[in-house]
Amino acid sequence: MNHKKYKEWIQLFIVDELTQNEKEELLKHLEDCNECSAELEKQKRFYSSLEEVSLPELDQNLLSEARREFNAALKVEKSKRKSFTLPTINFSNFFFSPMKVAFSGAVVLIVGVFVGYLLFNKEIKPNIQPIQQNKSVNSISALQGDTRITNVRFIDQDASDGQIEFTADATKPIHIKGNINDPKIQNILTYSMLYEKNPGARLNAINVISTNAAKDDKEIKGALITVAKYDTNLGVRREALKLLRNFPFDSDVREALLYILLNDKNASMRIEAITSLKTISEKGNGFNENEISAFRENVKKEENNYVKYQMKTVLGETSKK
Amino acid sequence: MTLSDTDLINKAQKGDESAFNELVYRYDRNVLGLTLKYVNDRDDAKDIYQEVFLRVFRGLKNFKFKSEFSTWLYRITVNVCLTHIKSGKKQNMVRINSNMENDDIDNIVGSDDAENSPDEILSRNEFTGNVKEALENLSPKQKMIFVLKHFEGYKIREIAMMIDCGEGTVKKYLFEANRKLREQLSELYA
Repeated sequence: MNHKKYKEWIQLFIVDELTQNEKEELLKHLEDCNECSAELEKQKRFYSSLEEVSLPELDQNLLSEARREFNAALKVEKSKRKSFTLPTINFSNFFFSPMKVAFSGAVVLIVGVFVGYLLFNKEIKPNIQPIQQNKSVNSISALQGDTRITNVRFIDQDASDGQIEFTADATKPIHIKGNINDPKIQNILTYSMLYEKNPGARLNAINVISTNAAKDDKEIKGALITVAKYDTNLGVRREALKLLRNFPFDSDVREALLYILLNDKNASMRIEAITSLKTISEKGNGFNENEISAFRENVKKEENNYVKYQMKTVLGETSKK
Repeated sequence: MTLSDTDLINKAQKGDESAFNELVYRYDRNVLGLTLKYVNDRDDAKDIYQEVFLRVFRGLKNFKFKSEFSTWLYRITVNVCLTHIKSGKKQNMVRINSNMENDDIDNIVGSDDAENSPDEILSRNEFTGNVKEALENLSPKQKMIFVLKHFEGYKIREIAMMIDCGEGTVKKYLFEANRKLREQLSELYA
């Protein structure tokens, strides 16, 4: 008898990973084999005890922190990429094509203008203090009293040789006063809107930037859509959704509303989303095919009676046409 | 309609940042949930999360759709987890007190275990602590495969794709992990 094989199969049987034939063979074997039947009982006890184990579960705070830290790291990554990526030109046969002779003339002109700009343009000092990143390990003396140190992570905490090594996040408060239309100010506020830890601060950033934004500002609209769809705080999501009404209801906004309607766990957000979608459809050419098929697929799952009723109404009107 | 992964990847490959963000937000809960279970430490989990999505950012422009995006992403996640060196804080914590960690204490104070007696809760938390310790004694691959199978509920076929190996290999790791864990925990579950 090949007990080893059956003992392995028992593990797979418990987690439902055997084929039908294997299952039948194992069950037949278990009828006649006390050793393997005992093994089955032991394995069952083992796996049922594992069900009692609570490994750490993901929570919203951790997710928000991870997203925020990743976005900060991504900014650094992007700035590195910009610094190190130089345009590459393939010079093979470049001067042998008449079309490209004209093109090369244009390039020379652009390069000339650019060089002239570098040589003669006087540096304009921005009103905004640059945010310093990646303070090195040697710059302890540069840290001033108002610098906050957080997230100390030891690389070497063994002090037996008198030396330790660690990384930390050093943040220093800065005071900014500037024009709301200054792109740098807007960048900071957009960043704050997306990644600020405190929901109240995100809310303030949203209000300040959105009420002053031009209606065609795609970046701010995009940021508002991201916040309305993914922010972990309901109040912040709701405010972003409300402010999206100030922007033209284009396909991006419609997609975002549909996403919120189908995915947001909060009923008030879904109500707001379907109400806005209805308003848009009444002003335009009605609901599009994607929206209708999404309603059809999700109407049964919808838990809120108002949203369900609205979806059914739309589907009813569509079927009459 | 919600955009498919393919649409989002195509847009992100052309430099659309919001498409990249949407792709991240679509999967990051699963990635962070898995890494948290694997490393059992919030800071380490965040480090791995960051490394995973930075690798996705760097590699996305060369993504050729030869596999599902999710398979590629989980393969990166598994690789980063397997090569991750734990922070000093965590290593120390395991040595000092492996049976009762802070989150276990939180479980006792503010859990939904109103029906269970404090003794039962304590005993369960002690068991959890022992399982966590036993998991630490597995090789990184055994531990990852065991976590994916028994705590995340993936099928062996899916794990094989994530680890980039055959289903037979996954089974071997599972059997070995099962044997080691049962040896270490035999007094507790019997």
